[in-house]
Amino acid sequence: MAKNTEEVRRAIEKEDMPMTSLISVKMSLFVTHGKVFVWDTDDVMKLREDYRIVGNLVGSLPRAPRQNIQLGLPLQLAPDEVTLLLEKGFCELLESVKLSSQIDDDRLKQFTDMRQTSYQQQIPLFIGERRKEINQHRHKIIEGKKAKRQKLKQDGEHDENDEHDSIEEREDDFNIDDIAIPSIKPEQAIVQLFTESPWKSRMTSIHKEWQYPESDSDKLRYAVFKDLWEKKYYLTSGTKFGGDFLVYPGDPALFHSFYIAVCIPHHDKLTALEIVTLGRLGATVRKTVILCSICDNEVYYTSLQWTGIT
Amino acid sequence: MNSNIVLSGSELFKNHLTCDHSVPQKGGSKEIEFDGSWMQAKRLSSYYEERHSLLKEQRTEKLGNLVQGIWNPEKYLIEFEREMGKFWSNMGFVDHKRKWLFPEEALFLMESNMLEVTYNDIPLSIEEAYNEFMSHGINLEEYQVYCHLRRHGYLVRRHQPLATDYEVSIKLNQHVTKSRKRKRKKKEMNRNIDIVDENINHITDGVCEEGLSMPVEKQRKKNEEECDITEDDDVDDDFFVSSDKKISSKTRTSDICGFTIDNNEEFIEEGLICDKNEKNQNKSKQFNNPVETEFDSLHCDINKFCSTKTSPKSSLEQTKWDFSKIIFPNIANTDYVTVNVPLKQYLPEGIRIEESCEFNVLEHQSKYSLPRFDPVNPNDKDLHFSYADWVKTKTTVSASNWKEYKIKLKKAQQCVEKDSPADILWQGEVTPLTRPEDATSAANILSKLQVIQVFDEEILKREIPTELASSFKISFDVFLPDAKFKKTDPGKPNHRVCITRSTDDVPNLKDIHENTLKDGVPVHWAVLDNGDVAFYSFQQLNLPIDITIG
Amino acid sequence: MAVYPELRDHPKYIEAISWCPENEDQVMMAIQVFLDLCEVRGWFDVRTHHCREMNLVFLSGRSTNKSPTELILPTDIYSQISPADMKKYFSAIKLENIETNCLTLAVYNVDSTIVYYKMFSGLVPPENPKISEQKRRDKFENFQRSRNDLSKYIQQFTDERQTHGHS
Repeated sequence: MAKNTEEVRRAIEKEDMPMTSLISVKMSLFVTHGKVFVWDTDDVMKLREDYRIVGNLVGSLPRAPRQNIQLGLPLQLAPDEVTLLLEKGFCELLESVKLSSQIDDDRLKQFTDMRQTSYQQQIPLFIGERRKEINQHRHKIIEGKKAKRQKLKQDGEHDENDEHDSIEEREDDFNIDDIAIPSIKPEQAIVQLFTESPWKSRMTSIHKEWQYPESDSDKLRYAVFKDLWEKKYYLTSGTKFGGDFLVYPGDPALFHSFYIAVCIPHHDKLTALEIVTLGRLGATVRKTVILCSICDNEVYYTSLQWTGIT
Repeated sequence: MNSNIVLSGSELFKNHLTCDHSVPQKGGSKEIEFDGSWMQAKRLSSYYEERHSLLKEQRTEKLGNLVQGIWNPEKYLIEFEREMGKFWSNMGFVDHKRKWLFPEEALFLMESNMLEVTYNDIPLSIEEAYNEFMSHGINLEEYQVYCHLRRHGYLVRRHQPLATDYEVSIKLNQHVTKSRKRKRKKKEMNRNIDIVDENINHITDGVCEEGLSMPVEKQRKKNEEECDITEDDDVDDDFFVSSDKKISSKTRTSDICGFTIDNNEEFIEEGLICDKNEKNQNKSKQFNNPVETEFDSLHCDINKFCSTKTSPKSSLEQTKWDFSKIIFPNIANTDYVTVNVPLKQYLPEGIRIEESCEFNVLEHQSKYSLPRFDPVNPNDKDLHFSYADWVKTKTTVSASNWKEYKIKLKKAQQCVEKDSPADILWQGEVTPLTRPEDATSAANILSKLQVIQVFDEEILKREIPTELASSFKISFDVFLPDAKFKKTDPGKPNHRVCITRSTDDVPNLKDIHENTLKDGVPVHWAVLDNGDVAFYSFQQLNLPIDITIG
Repeated sequence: MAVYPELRDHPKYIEAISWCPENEDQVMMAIQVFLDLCEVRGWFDVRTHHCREMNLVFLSGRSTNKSPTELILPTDIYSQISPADMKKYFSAIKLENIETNCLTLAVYNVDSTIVYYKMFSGLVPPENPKISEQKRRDKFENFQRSRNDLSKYIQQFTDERQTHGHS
C-alpha cells in the first residue's frame, strides 16, 4: 500500500525516522537545471527492472573513469519518462540539493568525525596488510639481509667470527616479526568521494514546476510514449535512427529494437516520397518504421515494412 | 548523513584494495524475439546483477593522492594550491599567482577520482557539484560533451578566437606570447592606440610623409567595460593580455614598416575599440573584442571573466585603407606642395600645427642646391624620365608567332635591364626588393613588399571569423592527445565542437559555411539527446575533374 | 507524369475510366502499375477494382501462385497522404473475400518507374531475420533449379533438332 508522501513526512518528523523509509515509498528524481537525474543505485536498478524505464547513464564509472563504453551514475531521464513516472505515481520530483553559503558547524563536525573514525578504523587494517606482505616475502627479506651482511663483511670488517654471524642470522628470523611498520599517516587513509550527496535533508522540497508536455508536438510524443509503454515495450531515444523513439520488445541490452517510432500529427500530410524515405530508413536497419498519430484520443499506428524483394 | 551511502573504514579499505578495474565488454549477440524462455530470463537476470554491482561501487581513493581544491562561488572557479599528476599541463590557468580550474575541468577531475573540492571545509559530492558548477559559463549539455571527449583522451579547451592566416603568416601569435613575457615589467595600461578609419583617406592625401613620422602614441578612448580591467591595479601584467598585445603589435608594426597607422587586420584580432570621434562617426566602427573572450578562456583576467557581461561587442566593423588613393606627393614637378593638416586625434599631445602647410619646393631645392629641372634645357634630360614609357619603347618587338614573340620579348627585357638607369642597383649583392616597373601605385609597391596586404572589404569579411553572425556558438577547441601540449601556446586545434540538442533546428548552409572558420579546422556538431552524444560534421567536397577532357 | 496515349485504347483502361471518368491521371497510373505487375514482375491474377468511396482504382494480385492476394494502391510521388488519409484507405480499400491489414503503395515516378512499399494498419513487427534469410535461400534455390531446368530443355531441344536434321 503506497503511503501518501505527506503522511510519511509527518511520520518522519514525529518519530525521527531515517530518510531511507521515505525512499522506499517512492523513488526520488532530482531536477538540476531543467534536467532530471537519479542518483540512488537501487532506484536506478528498480526503474529499469520493474518499470521498464531505461534512461541514460551520464557519469563516469568509478572504477574506470576514462572510457566511454560503460558509464556510471547519475542516470538522466528523458522528459517523457519523467512525466510517465510522475503520472503513474512511482516517483516524486524533488529540487536538487543546494549548497548554503553559511558555514554549518554541525555538518563539519559530523564530517570530520566520520573521516577521523574511518582513519582510525583503517590503521589496524593497514598494519595487518603490511604484516601479511612481510610474511609473504620473508624469505626474500632474510636473503636481502644476509646479502647486506656479506657485503659489509667484504667491505672491511674481517673481525667478525662465524659464531657472531649465526647468532645474527637467528636474530633475523625473530626480527621479521618485529620489523617496525611505519605509522600510517592520515594521507594514506582511503577516503570516499561521494557521488550521491550524503547530506540530503528530509526537508528536500518538491519541484512544482514540471510542465512537460506543453506544446502540441510534445503532447503527441508523450501520448505515443505512454501508449507504447503500456503495451509493455521498452523505449529509448531514436535520434540516431531518424525517429522519435526506438521500441524494444525487451530490455535494450538484450534485444534488438523492432520499431522506429515517428510521431506525426494525424492530419499532417506526407508526400509519397517521404513515405518511401521512411520505409528505406527502416529497411536498411531491419526495423519497421511506425507512423504514430492521435485519432479520437487514441494512438493510431501505421507500419511501413521492409519486405525484401517484391 | 545518509548511512546508506557512507562506507565505513573497513569497507573503504576492502573496497580499495580489491578494486577491479575491468569494464564489462559490450557486444555479444542480442536476442531477436522476446519468447519468455528460461534462457532469456537467466541472461537478463545475470545482466542485471552485473549492472547492479558495477553501479553500486563507490569512489574511493587515498587521501594523499587527491588534489584539494576550493570552490569559489563568486568567481565560479575552483582554486587549488598543490598540483599533482599530469593534468596541470593541459587544464586550468593561473591568475593572481593562484591556480584555477574551470568548473567543467574540476568536475571531470572529480569524476576521475583525482580532485576533491571543498566548500566551507566540507568536500562536495558529485551531485552537489552538478548543481553548483553548471549554473554559469557552462551548462549541462556542454559538460556532457566535454566529458565524452575527455574520456576518449582528447584535450579539450574552451573555444578561443583564432588568429587569422595573416597573423600566423607574420608569426604575430608567437611574437605575442614571447613579448608578453618581455613586457612583464611594463604597466602600459593607459597606452591607447587608435584605429584609423576610412575618413583618414582624405586626410592622408599628400600627407604620407607626415604619416611616416607620426609618432606611435595616440590616445584611445576606452569602453567602460574595458575600464573595469584596466583600472584594476591588482591585475598582474602577465595576464593583462589586451595591453600587452596592443603594445606588441604596435611596436611590431612600427618596426616593420614605420607606419604608425597600423595594420587594421591586426587590430581587429586584438579587438581594440575604435575611437568614436564625432567627425568620424558615420564611418567609425566598433570591433568585436576577441580579447574579451580570450579573457574568458586562456588569458584569465579573473575580474573580467567573472563578470556577467560576457556578451561580445556588436557588429564587426573595420576601417578600410585604400592605398591606391594614398599618393606620394610629387615634388619633382611643382613649385609648391600643400600638405593638409591631419586630424588632431592623430597627432601627439602638445604639437600644434597651423591649418595648412605650404612647402616651397624651389626654396628647399635651392637650399640644398639640387639641380632644378629645366624643361627647356635639354642637358637635364635625364631627370625627366618615365620608366614605363622608356621600357615600352625599348621592348616593342615584332614577331610572326607567339613563340617567337615570347622569346624576343624576353631578350628585349634582358637588354633593357642591362641598360636601364636603375640597373646599377642590381649589380651588387644587395638588390632592391621591388622592380621599377612595379611603381604603378603605392598599393602595388606595398603588396610587393608584402608588408601590408592590400585588402578590400570582401577579403576582410571572409577572413574575419564571423562568429557572432551565425546562430551557432562554438563551444570547444579539441586537440589530439599530445604530451607536448602547452596551455599557453596550444596552436591550432584539430577540431572544434559546436553543441546543439536533437530538438533544435538543423544548421542552415550559411551557418555551416561560416562556422568552418577560415583556418580549415573542421567543426563538429555534437547533438545531445538526454545524455546521448552523437557527432556530425560537414565536409566540403571538390568533385574530381576529369583532366582527359579537352 | 509520363503519358502514353496508346494506353487509352487498352481495354483495361477503357473499363477503369468508365468507373471514374474525372480521375484520368489516377486511372492512367493504375493501368501502368497493372502492366508492370503483369508483364515485368510476373504476378498472378492481377485485377483492377473500383473503390467507390474514394473514387479511385486499385489492384489486387498475387506475387507467386501460392502467396495470398495483396491489395495495391497506385499513387504518384507528389500526392500527399496524412495518417488520417491512410486510415481512410485502410477502411475503404477492401475486397469481399480478403481479410488483410496490408496495403501496398505503388509509387509512380515521373519517369514511369514504380516503387512498392507495404503499409500495415497497426503494429506489425519486422520479419525475423532467420525467416527472411530462409526465404532468400529458397528463392535462390528455385532460381537455380529453374535455370538448370532451362538448360536441360535447351539441351534436349538442340539434341532433337540434330537427330531430326540427320534423319
